Amino acid sequence: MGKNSSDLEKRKKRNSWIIAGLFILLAAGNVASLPGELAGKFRLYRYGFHNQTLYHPDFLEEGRYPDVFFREVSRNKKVCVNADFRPYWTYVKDIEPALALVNKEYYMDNSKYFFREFAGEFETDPSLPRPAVVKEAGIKERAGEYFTELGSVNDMLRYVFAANDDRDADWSGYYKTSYFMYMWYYHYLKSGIMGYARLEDLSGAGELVAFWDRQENLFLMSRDYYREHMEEFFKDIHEYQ
Amino acid sequence: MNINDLMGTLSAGYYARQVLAIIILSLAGWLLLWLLRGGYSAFFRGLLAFPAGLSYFAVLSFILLGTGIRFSPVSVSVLAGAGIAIAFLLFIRRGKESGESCLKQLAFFLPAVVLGALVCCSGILSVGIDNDSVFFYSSYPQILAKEGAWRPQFDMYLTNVGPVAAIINTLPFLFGFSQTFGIQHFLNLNFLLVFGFCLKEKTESRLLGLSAVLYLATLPAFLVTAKWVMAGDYFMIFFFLLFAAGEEAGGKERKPFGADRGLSLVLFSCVLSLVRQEGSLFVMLLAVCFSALYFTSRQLMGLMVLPSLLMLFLYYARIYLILGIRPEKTFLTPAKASMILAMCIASGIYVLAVQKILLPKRRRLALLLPVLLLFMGNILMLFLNPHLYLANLHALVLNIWQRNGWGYFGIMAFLALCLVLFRMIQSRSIGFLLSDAVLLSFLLAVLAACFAREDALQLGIGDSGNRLMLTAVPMVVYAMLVRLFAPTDAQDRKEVRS
Repeated sequence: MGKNSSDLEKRKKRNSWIIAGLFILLAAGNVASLPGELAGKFRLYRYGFHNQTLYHPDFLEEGRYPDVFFREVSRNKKVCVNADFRPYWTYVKDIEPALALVNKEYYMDNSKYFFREFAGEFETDPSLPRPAVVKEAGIKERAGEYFTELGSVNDMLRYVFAANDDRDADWSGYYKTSYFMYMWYYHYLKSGIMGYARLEDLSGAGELVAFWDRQENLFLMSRDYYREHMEEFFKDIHEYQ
Repeated sequence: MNINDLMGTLSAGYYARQVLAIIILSLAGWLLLWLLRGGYSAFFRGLLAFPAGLSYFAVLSFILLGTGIRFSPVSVSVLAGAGIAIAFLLFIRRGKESGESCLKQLAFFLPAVVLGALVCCSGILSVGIDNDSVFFYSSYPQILAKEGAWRPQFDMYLTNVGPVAAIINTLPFLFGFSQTFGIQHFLNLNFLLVFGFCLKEKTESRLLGLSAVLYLATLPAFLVTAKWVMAGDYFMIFFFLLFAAGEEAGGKERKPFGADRGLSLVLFSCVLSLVRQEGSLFVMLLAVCFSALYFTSRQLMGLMVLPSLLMLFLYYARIYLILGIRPEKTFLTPAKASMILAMCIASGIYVLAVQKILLPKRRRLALLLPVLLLFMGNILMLFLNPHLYLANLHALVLNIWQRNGWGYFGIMAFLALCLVLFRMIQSRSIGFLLSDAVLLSFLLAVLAACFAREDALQLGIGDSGNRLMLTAVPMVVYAMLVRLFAPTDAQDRKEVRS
């Protein structure tokens, strides 16, 4: 019995070494095959030590997730906008059932609510230009000169839960988040609405300014940059005065 | 300005805070388990410390949100402190026990945690990011942390996103950093250590445990889930942790159960219940399989079934009755929520019935029964809607065949299965282990969950059914290795006799 026990132990040990060796070989195979296995199917991002935010530099190149950028940038800063905040039901309208995944469309009047929800501090400033003025000043056409384009900000309009001022009111059967989620993002009624930012001045600035044009393109910059470089474009426009 | 420099400037202090968060959660978990010690070895307690601490945070936060008390760093900390104080009082009541030096254990534990946290938060390990990572698991938690409550305007976020996964992802916004990559990587590393330890205990081979961990840690089919910033990683890990905790606690040897074992089972059950909306069904799956072990009814009901049910009641009552949400298009409708509740209650009744009727004489049947019932359930689904069921099965098999996230794991698992069957035929012994029952039940439950989704599964790595099936990978590796290498009494006796 004793000898058989000892043989068993030896056999087990030998088997363990064989299996361990096999696993190590398989692990080496895994490491070698990993890049090929995931190529085109699953994108991995390596952030490095310096950047501890969610916004990866490749997002800028690819024009992806600009809302992550705007969240990170505005998180500990004050953002000023010129905007009206209307009750949510003014943004809801019926649409063709055949086109819809739900029977109502939520038309989100630009991404101002986004900053109200995510900025460290938020303020309405009537002196900032309204969309019609921004359009007339041709800011979008000059955007490449002054701003970095971050990508399409359609997804930022999905923050429908931010849209309701009547947070404790009766919801009257309107399902805002789901309307938005499935209408605005998946339905592509609007073409790409772009987000722009003046990257050079953002990190040190405590106060930021955001404005939109009629197409709802978003422009974000520091208050100082706005005063020194942007305000002049609006001065001669009658509506602004 | 270079975008990386800008983000680097904006993230000043984030690294240190995330490292600190991991250390604090680990210490909290370790302290709780140490104060309530009595079941686990010191080493295993150390391995479970971070998952326990993270679960502790998640459950307390859930209680605050579910009861409508303001959810904030202050309220969570106060509640956590109160819990630790209660554990301390229990510890004092028990009186001093010999042989367990707190400081000596901490002297090993703390440096390991600090080193692990520093590495995991350093950004050298990559992550997978997609839309759901950004919207469900970052911007929604940010709003949740800001609001301090579940609000009706969150609408379908409340019914599509596992609330516990969202809560875990509030950690950055409560404690001043930006993402949970370090926390997720640390949990993965912790999990691999637990996995290796459990395998080593089961197979009595340290070498096998280590090499299996190396294999799993490099396996594409594991890494896809582990690296993806979603609820899937937490689901995969806490399912295995709950399985491991149950397997360890429900063993045959007469031993003190220990409050630390009890706490682990409660915390992991609570987390698993709502880390995904259907998570509670997998808690019940484990409870039902564990009913064949040496637990008492009171232990299983009190430590797994009832905590999970309480989580569900609290959440469903809050979102459907108090907030009154009715999202138009969502995964968790009130009807599905009712069905989940009913199945959980039925599982509780099953556990009581099995313990009363089948045990102790028909333990093997008790282990086989969940698998048979789930199999019959799947057959019923096949009859109810054969087109949908077969389309789902086809999509799942094709995803494995086309290596959509699976790598060559499908082939390896198939070869391992052939080896297992060969060994069974050779030894003329079928044998049915707990890990077999859990694995088969899990696979059948995934098929059932996919059927309940109502939409057919799609091809592609991102399909939800494919992602759910990928979370089975550690369990598959574990079950196969246990099958092949764990010493069984009969097998050893036979070999010794010959």
